[in-house]
Amino acid sequence: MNLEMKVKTVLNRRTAQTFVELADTLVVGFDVIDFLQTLAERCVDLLDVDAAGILLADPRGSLTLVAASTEQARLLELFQLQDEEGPCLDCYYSGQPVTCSDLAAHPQQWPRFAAEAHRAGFAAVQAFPLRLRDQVLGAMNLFSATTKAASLDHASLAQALADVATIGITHERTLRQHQLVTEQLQHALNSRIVIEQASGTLAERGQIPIAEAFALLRAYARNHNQRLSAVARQVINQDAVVAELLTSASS
Amino acid sequence: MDRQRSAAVWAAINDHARAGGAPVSIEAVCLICARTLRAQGVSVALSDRLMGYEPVCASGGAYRLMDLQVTLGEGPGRDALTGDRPVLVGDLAEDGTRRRWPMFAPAAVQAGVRAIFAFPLLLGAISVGVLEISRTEEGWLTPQQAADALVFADAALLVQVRQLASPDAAAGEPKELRWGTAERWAQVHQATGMVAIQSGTDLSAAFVRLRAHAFADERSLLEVARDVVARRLRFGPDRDEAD
Repeated sequence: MNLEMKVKTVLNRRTAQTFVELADTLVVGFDVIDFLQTLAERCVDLLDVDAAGILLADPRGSLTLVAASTEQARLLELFQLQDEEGPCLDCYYSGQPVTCSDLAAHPQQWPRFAAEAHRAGFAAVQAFPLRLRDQVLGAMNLFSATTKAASLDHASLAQALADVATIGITHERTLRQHQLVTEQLQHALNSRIVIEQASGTLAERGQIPIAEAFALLRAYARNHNQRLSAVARQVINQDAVVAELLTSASS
Repeated sequence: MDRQRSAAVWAAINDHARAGGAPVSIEAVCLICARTLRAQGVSVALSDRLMGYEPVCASGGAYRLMDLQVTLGEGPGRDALTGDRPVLVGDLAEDGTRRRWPMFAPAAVQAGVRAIFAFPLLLGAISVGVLEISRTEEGWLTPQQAADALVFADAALLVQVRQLASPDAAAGEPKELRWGTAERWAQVHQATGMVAIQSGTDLSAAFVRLRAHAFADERSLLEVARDVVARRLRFGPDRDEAD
């Protein structure tokens, strides 16, 4: 087997593992935020990018970040900025993937977004729609630190992962009512807010940065096999978990 | 996703209040909601620690629906509160609906209601109540109507959160009710959590203080939130903040 084939085999195995892992989380004790969070992290591994995020469209008129591969503040701003301009907004309105393999070469496309992306150390960006038939629910956003031509293989895998995100949000493929999508979307958007509030609470308690507080929440939820949003609520309610989390921070 | 439409709904709410010369009330939100969504009944119940569901305001015949949910202990409004998500029911006479609420569904139909749409008044872990929209005819909300309903729920949340906060904290709030795009930014909610700890209050009071501070300083909520997150601004236990 030559090197290229070996790489492909390894990648295929990891891809298959990811789909199995995601399918598992869809069944038992399903929580949409945990699901999207895992998906964002796996996107970075599988798609050879440096950061990934998932944004959902709120019917009230904004595109909101609900999961990111890393909680670096500047990156979060970059995702959220696309409520105003950027590849995700274009992708959302067109329902089509949007790719810019060299942001510096096309600064006029999204002036503010391109400048901020450059400052954050990113050179290329892609956005894939989360589509449910004729409805677009949001977009999956990928960032690379280096300029690169998008490979076709990666694009179809990325779209497959975006489709998985859609399934996660709508919970089942046969979903037919717009109403149920509204219920799920609002729940997902709100769960993310609970996690932000809890990150703030924990950061202030422990006098640690927000990103570190989020990492603690995430690690605790994983290690204790709990939902991220459930741990977040315990933190907000000042349960004993707060002390435990902060002990693990200082150790 | 229609920003202009949301702005129009906020304008309708504020115009009504301005015409009456009073701050936006929960009654006004219900009234304009009923008018906009062509609903026969609109009501707001608060989440209450003891009862779980406490009716505060209703237009049309909606009190009856809330009464039923209080008495029977089940219904879409209660489920929206406990599940932290909208509960939308296009036909109360349908089999699935009857199975879900075996007592409430037939009683509501008998009271002349066929569809009910419950939206929790929710901002993360801040949960104050539920807005319920009912109609005498079966049928779903259009996507546009569902989006409008979410804005009315936001308005009801703001009115309610303001009333729950101490008069001091709310004193600096603008008269105009408006949900900016800032509320979609993570930092606003992170700052809310931080301010709650700094000032020893719950999240809703912390949120009101943040908004009041931004208004008093003529800055955006997002800017103030960023200062809090970057630890350039702290809120003390009382009204005075030290920069």
